[in-house]
Amino acid sequence: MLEKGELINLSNNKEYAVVSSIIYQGANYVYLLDTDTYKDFKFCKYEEEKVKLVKDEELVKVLIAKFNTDLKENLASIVKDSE
Amino acid sequence: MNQIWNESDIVIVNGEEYLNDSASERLYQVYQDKLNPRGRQLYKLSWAEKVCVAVPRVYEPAKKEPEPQPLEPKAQKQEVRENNEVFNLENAKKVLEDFDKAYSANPRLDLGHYLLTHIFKILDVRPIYTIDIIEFGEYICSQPKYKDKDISWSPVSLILPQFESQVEKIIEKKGLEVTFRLLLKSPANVYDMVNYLLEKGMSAAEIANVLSKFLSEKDEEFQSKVEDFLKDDIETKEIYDKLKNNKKKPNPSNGMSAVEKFIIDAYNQEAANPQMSAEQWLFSLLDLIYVSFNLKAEEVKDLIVKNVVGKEPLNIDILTLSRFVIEKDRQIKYCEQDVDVLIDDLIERINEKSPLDVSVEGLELVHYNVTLEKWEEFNSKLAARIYTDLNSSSVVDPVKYKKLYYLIIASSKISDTTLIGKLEEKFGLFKNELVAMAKEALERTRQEDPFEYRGGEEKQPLEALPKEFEDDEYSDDDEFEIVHRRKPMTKEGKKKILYASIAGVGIISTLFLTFVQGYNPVTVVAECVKTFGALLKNNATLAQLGVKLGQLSVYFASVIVSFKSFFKFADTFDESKVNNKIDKKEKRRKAEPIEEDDEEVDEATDDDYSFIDEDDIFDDLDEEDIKRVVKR
Repeated sequence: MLEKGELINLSNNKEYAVVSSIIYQGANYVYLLDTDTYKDFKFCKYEEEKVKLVKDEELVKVLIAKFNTDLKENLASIVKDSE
Repeated sequence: MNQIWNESDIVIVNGEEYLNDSASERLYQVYQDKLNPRGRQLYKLSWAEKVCVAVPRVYEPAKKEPEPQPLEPKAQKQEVRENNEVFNLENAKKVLEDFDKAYSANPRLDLGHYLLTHIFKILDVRPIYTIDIIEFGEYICSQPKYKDKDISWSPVSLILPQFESQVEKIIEKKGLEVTFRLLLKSPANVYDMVNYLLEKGMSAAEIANVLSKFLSEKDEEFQSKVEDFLKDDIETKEIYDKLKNNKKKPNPSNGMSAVEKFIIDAYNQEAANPQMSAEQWLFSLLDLIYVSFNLKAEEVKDLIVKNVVGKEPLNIDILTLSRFVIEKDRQIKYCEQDVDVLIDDLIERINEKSPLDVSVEGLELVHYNVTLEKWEEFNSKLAARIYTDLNSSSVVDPVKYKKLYYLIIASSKISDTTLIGKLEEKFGLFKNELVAMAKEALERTRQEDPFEYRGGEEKQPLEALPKEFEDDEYSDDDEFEIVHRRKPMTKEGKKKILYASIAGVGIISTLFLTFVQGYNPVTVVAECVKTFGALLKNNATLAQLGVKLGQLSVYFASVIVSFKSFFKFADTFDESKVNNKIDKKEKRRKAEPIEEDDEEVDEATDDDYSFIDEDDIFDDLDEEDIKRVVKR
């Protein structure tokens, strides 16, 4: 499982931060954001040291909602950590 | 409460016998000694009295001869009760106190049933009191402790069956407006009510005035009922037209014109029992006059000056009057104005000092002074004009974009406007509006500090706008191998995680609000900037993030632009869907030339942004830039 707060380098030669990581229906889904521009985001399924882009539109909506909740709940601690 | 009576059952109310007539849904009091179709004298009772009967009893012949009854016993009895036992809120509250005690002993007690039984039994309420009962009902509903209780009794329902016979009394006692309100709380039909009141000889002007008041009510129920009445069907429209066209011309030959009499009557009525401030009354009077009479503003002003200005107790002064007449006149002109002229006027206003306030005010002015149909037309034409202007701009005109941007923002501040909806529906992802918005934000930043911005070199707004994601950023590869993974241990690594987390919150919130919940992206960006501005304020560590992210509105606008790319990305989920979309797009292109325009704008924008180096956007900004954003 990929954990929130990890830095990963992918085969596209970019570095991403694991912004959020959740278990949904038994699978590990991650929300990645590049650490260069902070704009290239990806919603992926993690499996066997690979990340696979989520293709199902409905699933993407579900994931957005879940990542949003997860990050909102943790925003306060992120800010606190930075102080 | 749901007691069923059989035909010819005799029921007992307050120790007296009544005959039930289920065919007419009435109870009849029985007087054995008088002849009638059933061999008895029947006294008609109201439905309200019927429902208070707790237990029906099958008639058994009386064992003793009944006492001879007077010819009009009920009327006499009622007169006595009216004198001695008047229903009012205070004694009704005592009934409530009794109920509280009884309820604590028996929580299954029904409040509605209890009140009906006791109030009617004790106070012998007749229709004359129904309005007091309504006040009482409203009092009950306003008490939090009764809110959870099952109040099966609706006070308004009590008056409905007898409303027709009471309407004049209620109008007389409470006025037309209250009467309307009572009706609108019930399932009663506004159409029937207006017709009925017209038949009763009520003033069309007064009815129209009450209706127009309801249109501006905060109570949505009232508002929608009247609006439905005004727009629903042809018959209704005819009545409304009748109201509008029933304008009484002044007749100077009578010595005093109709409008003068109208003003004096209205003044005396209000002076005797003032319900409003002098200003409110004056505005209401002007409404009435404009609905009822064909007069010019100056004529109205002269008549009011002649008849009521300076008189006690309202003491209307001439300056207030002039102000109101001018305002009213402007409103009337708005109503009669062509939609295109209104739009020109609005755009003209936006060139004034506070464009946002002016455009909000301008839109509100139009909104509240034109008919629904005209407002629809206004919205539609405004949307079309914004779109045309945006698409026809080959050369960037910051003033023009500023105008349009404020229009969009202003229209989103009016809750029921359909403008934003129309734009979304027509033009998709709001890209053009966002372009305008981002330009505007940068333009404003530069205007605040034009010489320091980017080392004092003035740039065109277009240059500062972020380019869209390159296509290869969302490559066709859908699987990536993790080459290296680690928990950051260095300060630099931790900072990367922190920045990504903060930026990630912004992006996911934006996506959640737009993609999942369907909010307007323009509003979402504005809110994100506000939230992040507050977050970064007074936090030195996070301010560094602001430096990295650059100007926040630009950053979030770029997220929205990338959001479009995300859709493209999402479209590739399903090959068949893609093909299908391509087919549809081809068809649309053929059918709708507007799609080609859209495409041209896309291309133009891409070209314009293609030379921008993102590093310019982020690296050249310093803390001052962030402060500017935070300040906003």
